[in-house]
Amino acid sequence: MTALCTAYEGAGTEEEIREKLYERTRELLSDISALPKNISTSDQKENLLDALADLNYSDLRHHPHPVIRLSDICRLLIRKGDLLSFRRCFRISHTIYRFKCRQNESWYVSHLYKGISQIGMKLPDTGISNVLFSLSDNARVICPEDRNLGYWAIMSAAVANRNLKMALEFAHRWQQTAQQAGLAEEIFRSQLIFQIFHLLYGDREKSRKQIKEIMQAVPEAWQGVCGFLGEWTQALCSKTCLSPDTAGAVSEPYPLFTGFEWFRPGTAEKDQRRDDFAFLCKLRRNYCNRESIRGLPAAEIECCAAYMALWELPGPLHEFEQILKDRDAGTFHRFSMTRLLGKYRTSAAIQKALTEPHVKRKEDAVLLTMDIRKFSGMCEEYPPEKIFEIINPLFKIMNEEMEKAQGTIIEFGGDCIILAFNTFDRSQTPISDIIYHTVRSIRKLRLHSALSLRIGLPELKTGVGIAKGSVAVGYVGGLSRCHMTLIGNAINLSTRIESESKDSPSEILISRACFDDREPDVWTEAEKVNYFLRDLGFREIKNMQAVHVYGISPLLRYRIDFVPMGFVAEKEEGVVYIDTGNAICPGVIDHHRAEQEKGSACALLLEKPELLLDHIRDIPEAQIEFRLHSDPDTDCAATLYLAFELMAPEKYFRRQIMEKLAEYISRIDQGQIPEPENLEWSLYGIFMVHRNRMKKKWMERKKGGTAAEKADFILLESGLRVIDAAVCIMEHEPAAEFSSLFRHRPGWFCREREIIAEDRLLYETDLSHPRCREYTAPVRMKKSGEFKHVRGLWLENPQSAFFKLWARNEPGAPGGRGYRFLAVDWSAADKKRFVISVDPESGTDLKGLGPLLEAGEKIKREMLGRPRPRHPVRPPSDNSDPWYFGQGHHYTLN
Amino acid sequence: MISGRKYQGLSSFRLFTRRVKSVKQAKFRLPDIQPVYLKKTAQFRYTIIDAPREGSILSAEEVREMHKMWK
Repeated sequence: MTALCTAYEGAGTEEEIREKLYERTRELLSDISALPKNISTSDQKENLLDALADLNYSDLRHHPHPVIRLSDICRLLIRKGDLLSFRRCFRISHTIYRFKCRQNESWYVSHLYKGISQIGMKLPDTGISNVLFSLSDNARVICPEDRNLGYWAIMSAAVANRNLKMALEFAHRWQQTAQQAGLAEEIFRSQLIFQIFHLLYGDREKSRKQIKEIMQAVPEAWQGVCGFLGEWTQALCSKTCLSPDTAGAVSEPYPLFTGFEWFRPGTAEKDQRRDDFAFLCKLRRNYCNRESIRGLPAAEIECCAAYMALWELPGPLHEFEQILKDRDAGTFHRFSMTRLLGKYRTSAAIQKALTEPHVKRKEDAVLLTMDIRKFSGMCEEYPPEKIFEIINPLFKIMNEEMEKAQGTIIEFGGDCIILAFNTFDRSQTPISDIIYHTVRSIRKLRLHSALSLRIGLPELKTGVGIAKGSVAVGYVGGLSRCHMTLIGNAINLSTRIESESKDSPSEILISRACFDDREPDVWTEAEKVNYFLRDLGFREIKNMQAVHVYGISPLLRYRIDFVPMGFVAEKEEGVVYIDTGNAICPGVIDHHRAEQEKGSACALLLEKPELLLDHIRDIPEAQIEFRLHSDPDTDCAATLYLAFELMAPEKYFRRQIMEKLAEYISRIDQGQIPEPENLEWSLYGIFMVHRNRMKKKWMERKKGGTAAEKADFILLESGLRVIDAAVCIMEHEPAAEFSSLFRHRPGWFCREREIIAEDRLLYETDLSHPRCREYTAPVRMKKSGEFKHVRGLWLENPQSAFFKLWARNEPGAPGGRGYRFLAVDWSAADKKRFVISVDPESGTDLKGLGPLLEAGEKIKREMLGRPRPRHPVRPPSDNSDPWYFGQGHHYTLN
Repeated sequence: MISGRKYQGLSSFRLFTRRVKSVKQAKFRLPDIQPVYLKKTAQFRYTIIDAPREGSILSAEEVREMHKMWK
């Protein structure tokens, strides 16, 4: 395989990469006789790449070396490094998966390209998981070129996650792999990356040495970058100040990092995002020595120092602090105190008036204790200085996230931290915000833990306890040596609650007092709910009264990834396919099989939990991954919910509710909506509207870019949120039905209910449209094959989202049982589209109509001289873009 | 006579429908690209039809006319 990895030869510049890419694509399409004629212009060449990304297993299965050829193309796409190339590479990675090469290497190759594409598309968390999997010890078959790409991508992802230490670790691995394989271009590129890191850390000696090495042999295409870095190095090592205006565009033949820019010239500092790497590079370049920093006003020096602390750059931080100390001692001391005591405690200490009492009482303080599990064992295993390295990133993540909720760390106690909210100033953080940020920090910790495992550090697991109560804020000690702290029973309580989390299905436990001793009503503000909430009842707490607690865990609590609809999967260690994969075996739970009689993946998993549990037994949590089909539906989300339920300790399994849920989901998945008249109160109705609403909001907020790539995560998270709310109601109202249970909580998901009511009105408007008509439609009786006529509806661009449901249950239809036949004209100015359907419940079908329309399409195209592209052929038709005849089923349900 | 790229008016439409009527319904073989959704979902098979991904060139009237001809 290595011998065939020739893609990089002669692909050292952007132009060369592009030409090489076309050449390889043309070769592959020629091999399968799918090459369109007369490819010459750049537009046509781009079409060629699109055609390639559209190929599937069927098109390539007779090719002698599909994986090798596709891999070559993926490498070039990755090197090209633009968003479109990553999207194409992402699609090709799914095609590669299907090919089983020797020792199943294609799995690893597929995951590698997919992961790198995801990192390039700004999905670093999922991307890191995929790349790490492909670089695991089992994947020895990955060629050095690919291994090298993997380390480079993870290094980039670590930078994107603002973890320069981790980035340096992976940069070393990247360079080592390149050196072992003799990849000259990659060795050179890694030298450039190291130089950037040295410059950021302000390491004069190393950067001087590194730039010398770089300058020994600079390829022509990299001269611009080298010149830029050389100038920066010179400024760092001398007293020269670099004017911000002197930095022109730095052209690189292909990207140094993936997923973000490292230098953006010409953007005013005020317009730059302040949390990204390009801003850091610009800041460090412009203020890389004491002389340049001295030119800044004190307030800006303080800002820069804070930014250095954010990126964990101790040398530059010290430099900024020293100059700040000379310039404005007061500001310096406040800044230093903030780093030691936290933002809010410093502010409280400084602003305290002499007349204020020494100790103040706060009645509604919220206390959070976080503890690292199995810390003692870790201390025995690792030297103490290593322990700092292990736990510091974790506390940093907690602090940064919690400061967003006005929380402040009051104690660092070995493996434990205690945070306080609503104590040091007058701010009142709602409990929903505290939970939201706690859940976010837990998710970040998990990602960090996955990366730590890879570099030989232990997996970090944490427990969190949250309590509310009165505390006193004051100084302990005498006035000559004192310490500002909190004292109160709520602190002990949060610590004790935390210790209860070890034996709980959730890693975060929260006392009912945090919800003002009422049943939590969190779904009135559903968008803030990024967690599952579970009533765990009263817990006996040592030396205290029993406390009513709730368990909280992130909605996306394990690693999640998506594959295309109809994906055919193989059993993989630690990976569980849900509602996709086309198999029923441990690790693949897909009910869409001929031999399977269950109506949904959810029902299948409930009947055969061993498909999940046997497969993940003894696998660390950080290595478990669920893969679902894109655009996850009710069955997908409900099956995942059930999987999480099964993975918790057995005594917490809510069998009756899960059975009811599986039965309901099976009916939905079969296209039967129970009690359609109660749509606005049903799990299905709220689920559909909420997820679509959240997706729309997301797409509007993150216009363009890579918003679409993350949309599946938004859909899944929203869906899980609705299911959890429904299960929560069911726990309190066991007699309720999923088809109408939101009646019991009319304050939850109110906007969704309004949208459903508006949708019904839209449907009525659709019906009154002049081009909407009742239609006498021929249909075929499934059993006899005879034809009959039914009354149906012909709708034109309906505005209603649930039009199919409303129409099929329309009491005004002939016979009062709804329209069994529906034709919808979705045509727009540039495209004509017709979707024709019959109710699957009606015992009729449209068999034969599809081929007839396809024949008509062909005839008319011949008459007009507008043929469709022939390749890749989509069976059973003879061209690449035929009518869909209805041989599958999921279209029926959308 | 309709030739080349002209397709206008009733005569074109008639010629089109005549040609469609003369088509012997092809026996299409199911694709093997997605060996899923076969027996279990028999209830749903052939209950929906969708136009080509890049759009159809048939008009709504032609679609309705072909639906009437379908046997």
